[in-house]
Amino acid sequence: MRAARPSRAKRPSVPAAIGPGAQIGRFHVGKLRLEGGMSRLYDVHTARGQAPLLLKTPRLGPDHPLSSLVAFENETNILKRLHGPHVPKFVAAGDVRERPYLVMERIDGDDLAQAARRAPVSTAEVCDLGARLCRAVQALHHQNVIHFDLNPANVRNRANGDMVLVDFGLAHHTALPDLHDAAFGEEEGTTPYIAPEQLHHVRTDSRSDIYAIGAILYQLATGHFPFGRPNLLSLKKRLVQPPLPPRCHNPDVPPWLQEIILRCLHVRPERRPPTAKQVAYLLAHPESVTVGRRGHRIFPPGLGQRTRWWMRSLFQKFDEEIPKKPYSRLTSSPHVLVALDLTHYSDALGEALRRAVRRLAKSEPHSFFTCLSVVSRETRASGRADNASSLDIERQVGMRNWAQPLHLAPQRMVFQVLPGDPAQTIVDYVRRHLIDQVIIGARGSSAWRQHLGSVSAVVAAQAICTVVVVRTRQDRAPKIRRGNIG
Amino acid sequence: MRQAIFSDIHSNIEALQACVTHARAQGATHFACLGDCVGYGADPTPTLALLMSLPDLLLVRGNHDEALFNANSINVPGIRESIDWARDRLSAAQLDLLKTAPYVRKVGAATYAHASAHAPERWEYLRHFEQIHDCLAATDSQVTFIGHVHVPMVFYRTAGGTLRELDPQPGVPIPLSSTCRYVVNVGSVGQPRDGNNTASYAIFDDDVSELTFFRLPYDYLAAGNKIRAAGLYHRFAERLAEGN
Repeated sequence: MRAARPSRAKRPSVPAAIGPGAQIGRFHVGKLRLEGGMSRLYDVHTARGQAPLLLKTPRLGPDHPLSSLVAFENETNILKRLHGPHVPKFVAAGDVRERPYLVMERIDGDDLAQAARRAPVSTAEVCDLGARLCRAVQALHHQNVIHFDLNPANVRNRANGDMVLVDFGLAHHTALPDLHDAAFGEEEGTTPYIAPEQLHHVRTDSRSDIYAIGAILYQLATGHFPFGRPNLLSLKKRLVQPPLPPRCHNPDVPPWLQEIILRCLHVRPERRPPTAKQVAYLLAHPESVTVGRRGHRIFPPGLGQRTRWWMRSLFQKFDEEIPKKPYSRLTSSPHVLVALDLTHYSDALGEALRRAVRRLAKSEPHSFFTCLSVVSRETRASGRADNASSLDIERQVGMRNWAQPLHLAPQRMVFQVLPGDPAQTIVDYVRRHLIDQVIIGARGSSAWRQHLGSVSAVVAAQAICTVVVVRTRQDRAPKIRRGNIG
Repeated sequence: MRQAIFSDIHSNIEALQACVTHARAQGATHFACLGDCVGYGADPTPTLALLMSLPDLLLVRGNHDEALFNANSINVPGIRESIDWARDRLSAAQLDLLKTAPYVRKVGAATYAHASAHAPERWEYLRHFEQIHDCLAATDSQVTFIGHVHVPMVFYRTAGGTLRELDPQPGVPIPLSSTCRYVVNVGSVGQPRDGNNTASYAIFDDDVSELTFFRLPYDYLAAGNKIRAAGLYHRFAERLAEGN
């Protein structure tokens, strides 16, 4: 990009002030709730007395920067196009050139901000808050929007626990012009949570939000910001190295949680988890996290390591040649559930399933697999009660044995055994973990199918994602029965 | 006012008909054509007839239109023949319309040009930020509509002076901020070259300051068969199918 030339865009005239007691259309402006550097937030009421509403208006005037209007316009454009439970509902907006205001749903819960204030919090709370935050970020990325300013103050929650992301002043919708301009003096984000590539003015990478999630998890687990006090040095540091291991601040942080946090806070975006959904999954399944050396580290890195990081940082670039849109990153990083029925397993079906997984793993290098075996109640009941855990271990071993010829990196495939009705358990798992695709083998024997019912048919009918039902060649061959010839 | 903006129709009546029908259904009341009505295709007369029937048509001159009257302006084999072939078939009124069309027109907050508002007679292909800067410097309009490259693109300069490019999504309205200035390439109706063989055009709604791109399928096989039947360069027909 070239150096800035003075723009001929005209500064809009300062519109009529909005304050308590004012009536704007059907909205009656109530008390001032929050006054920031860029905008003011007021309670608003309507005659119909609908759900609590909030009115946002930019701070305008000769003593306020034009960037407050730009951020406001950006937020209005984006919020108008967003939907779902993880963003406040857009209600109305005034003409930016005449009377800029934005009315939206008011969300009162602030679980995350409260937890950040009393951090460090328990590992269970970090995981719960983190997984809920990840689900909200995933929903945002699904709509091709990158937030770029995730921090505890910008995350609210509904009464049912759903996290709601607010303040889209710095956000970017990939189908809309990006009005944010660093050359214009606008901030790139909130210092403790800002990703290294944002400091290089890269505004196309959804993994910047993954970095902010990592910074929030770090703060919750340790009570410290990842790079200490928010200042210029803390900004420079993140361009070179990861933060101090969380266990240096709080030895109670388990290694698997440290591993997740440091993966999210990797300097290079391509080394972070590609999607928020994967972070949520890892937080909910600690046993599936492959803990490396960084997970166990409890001391600051030595001089040699820091020198290597510094040398590497001298040559690093952050621009992607062809920026990937958040939604395409989600679709090219699918979370795939491989449902393995080890009780009616045949080598032919096992190989057919491996072929299907291998194809997907090759075509989508960022795909992530969960291998699931469901132990039905009947199977469990048929064994002795104290044999339940040995049955689980047996299933784990069976699945690992099945997966071994795939030679997938350990962090790309996890294994899980769950009790329950096979079809219903798979359908519930898909819904709970936002699985993108299920690969399931068909029961080859018609006698088994008649006796037990077809699990794959129920999953294909009820699961809210793509379902691939794998058959062996023998199953596909037409059955020739006596009397049917001719 | 909802204005449908077409460019680079290149005598492709099937594509133009699809765009006009769609634009009317979208509530377009005004129409603009950013030049290159002729060349390549085999239907120059019906194309001009349909254009002239559109209400409030704003027309600027393209390099193929200029080549009708200047034998030296395009000397590429195949293209030259298609232009001469078109000239022999156009009526005097149609030729006169193309001959009198200006290089650049400015109406309200928008400027319309075929290649660029800066030195339009040089027929530059605007792909680089330096060229976009020059185009923006040549006009004080908030938005400049161009064609010529046959690829839909949106360039915009933010309030701080940073120039960026947006990949427009068909059917997704783009709000035009009063703090930015825009150079919008509406793509090509009759010979798209971005690997997508559907006709491209845009609707500009100046009441709400929004711009929406559309991509429309049309019978490119029929248009290609006419090119072959007319004895024009067969590659032009293949390009319609390839969208390149």
